Amino acid sequence: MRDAKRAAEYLFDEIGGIDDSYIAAAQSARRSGGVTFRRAISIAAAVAAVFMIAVLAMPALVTRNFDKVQSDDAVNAETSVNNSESKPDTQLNAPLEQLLAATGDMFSVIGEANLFDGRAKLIWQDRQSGKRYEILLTRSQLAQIDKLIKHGRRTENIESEMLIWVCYGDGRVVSPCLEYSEGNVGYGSLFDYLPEVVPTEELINYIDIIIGQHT
Amino acid sequence: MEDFAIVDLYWARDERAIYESDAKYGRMLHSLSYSLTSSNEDTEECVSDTYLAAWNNMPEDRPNYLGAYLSKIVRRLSINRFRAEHRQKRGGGAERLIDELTECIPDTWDVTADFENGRLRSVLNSFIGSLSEQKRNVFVLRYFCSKSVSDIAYQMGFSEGKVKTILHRTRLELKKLLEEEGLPI
Repeated sequence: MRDAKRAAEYLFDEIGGIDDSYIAAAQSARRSGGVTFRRAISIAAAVAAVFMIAVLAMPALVTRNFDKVQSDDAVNAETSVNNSESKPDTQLNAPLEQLLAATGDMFSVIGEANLFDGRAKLIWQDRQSGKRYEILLTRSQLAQIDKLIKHGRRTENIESEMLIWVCYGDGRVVSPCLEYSEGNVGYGSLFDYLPEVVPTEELINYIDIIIGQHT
Repeated sequence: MEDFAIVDLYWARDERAIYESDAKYGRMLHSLSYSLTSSNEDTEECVSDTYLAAWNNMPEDRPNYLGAYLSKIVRRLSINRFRAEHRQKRGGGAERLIDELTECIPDTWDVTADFENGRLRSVLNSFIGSLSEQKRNVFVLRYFCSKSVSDIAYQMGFSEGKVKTILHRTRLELKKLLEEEGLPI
């Protein structure tokens, strides 16, 4: 008889008579540890998502590190020159101080700064002469400076000829030459400090733009 | 409750045997029956008839694997119910499985003869025993337990593609074996 369908029915029936141990083994069979295929897919999807986030964030990280490397090179070059001449490290020629020093008396000398008038300000003071100058900042300028001020590159044993502060108008005071942290936020006064970081080129350029808008 | 303890209840004619059987294997039996009958009503009747058959068959029988024993009974009953009610129809779980098994049938095989003399069952048991554990489990889950490919894949931790491949290759191996057996026309 060559009726395959009927033969298959017999075959199907006879499968019902196989040894009980085979049936019991199959019914109790489970994946042997490890990760199921479906779980593996889920894990792979999660890993892929993390990878994509890292890839998208990479340009920002590279830019920051590139700035850091460039700043490192500049400071290292400066340091090596200074060391070779046995002079103390200084930020006298640091770009931001140079920029502000170049304004000369373009801006009015101020006395005591009002830090609670609700108006954001950039204030800098010549250590030697004690002269203090300020530029009023708009809310957006303050926000941008606040963003850029957090990316300074750490440095050590740098003296400076100038003190620079950013004042929020509500009493808070920070410096672009200090590491941005809770411990470096002053309140109600312009404080003296030893520089910890070198401001980024982006911040310096932005302040240059602000200065240009006031002149 | 362990299988041997439930079987002891059957032997002791203690009706708790039915309750304990249902508690331990009821879901599995319902699932197997429904996959063949595709009817809740038929499934309920087949599972109930299974417990009745087990009650009637024990004591005489003392199965080592109660789950497999009950599964054989419900499978038999479900196939008969399906054939009785769907003789003129096509489709359904059993129909699909039978269609798959046509791949295993050699062109020159008179299966009726071997079915009647019990040789087919013997060949099947030898064949299934010769399979790897993985292939055997997949084959039994599909053609005895009537589980879907996706359910087998989930249980075994495989992709559905892997399950289909295993089944296809196993069917071909079975066909080759049946041909090699040199069964009469």
